[in-house]
Amino acid sequence: MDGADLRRFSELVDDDTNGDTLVHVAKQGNLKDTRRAVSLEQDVPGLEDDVVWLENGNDAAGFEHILKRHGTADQFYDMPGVDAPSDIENLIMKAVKNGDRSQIPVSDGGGTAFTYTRSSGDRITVIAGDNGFIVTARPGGYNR
Amino acid sequence: MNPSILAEVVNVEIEAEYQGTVFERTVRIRVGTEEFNCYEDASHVTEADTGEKVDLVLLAQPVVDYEVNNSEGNVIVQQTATESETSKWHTEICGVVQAIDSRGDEDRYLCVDVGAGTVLVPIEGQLMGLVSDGEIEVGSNITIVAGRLDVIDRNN
Repeated sequence: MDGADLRRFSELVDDDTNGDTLVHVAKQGNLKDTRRAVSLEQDVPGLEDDVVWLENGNDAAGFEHILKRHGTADQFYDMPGVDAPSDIENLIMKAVKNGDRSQIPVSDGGGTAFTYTRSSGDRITVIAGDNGFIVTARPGGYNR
Repeated sequence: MNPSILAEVVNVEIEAEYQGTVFERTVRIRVGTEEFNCYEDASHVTEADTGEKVDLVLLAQPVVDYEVNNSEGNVIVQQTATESETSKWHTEICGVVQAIDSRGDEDRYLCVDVGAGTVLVPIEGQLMGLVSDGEIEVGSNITIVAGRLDVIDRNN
């Protein structure tokens, strides 16, 4: 870890995110690019460890991808109370912490799908790779 | 019943990829003379299927608007113009409710005959009330506007 990592480390630590969580992220991903991280209390089928994190990412994976492909007026922004990227980010983390969990078959690359149903009845699905990196998230259930 | 649409896969574009694994694709299909973008996140259709005829189970979700008994004809409509406010899979379907069914899970769906086949619509949100009140029933004409047209299964 360099100085920037340590600064980000201290910024990210909160009730959901302890030092072990961030050490995992630093080993597996890009801590400086990480927006949120959480250690889940129960074993999660499909994940190597029970740490899930959201990086800014790029066009193909992570928060940038989610906003570009699913942050549209007919997807996330059609949901009540979702008006800004921060609302999408909060919804993603709520799904990870409280959603139903389905293991993605190894033949499809592995990982976990988190599906969360809001009080309005709307559902969202968050897809994490087997190391816990959040690849994508979108409105709708997980249909497999 | 087995709601599906027979289509030719025109091309497949990778949308989400991480550490060599593809998690999301856009599958462009041809149904008759029309082409549509479908969203795919379970490897039901991959790049290897380009040019093949496939029998797809399609789900229009999330539902952003609807009309009951106000549709004309059975059709799928997708705007090809780039419209930044909507997704690249934005779809409108018009048709007749053939069945109200499940797919072996707890979720229920409208099976809508769109002429070239059948498209599923999840019974969620306001649609739940309309179905339970009998305002949408088998035989109803409906128009559904959805953020995406998802490939959720295939039969061949």
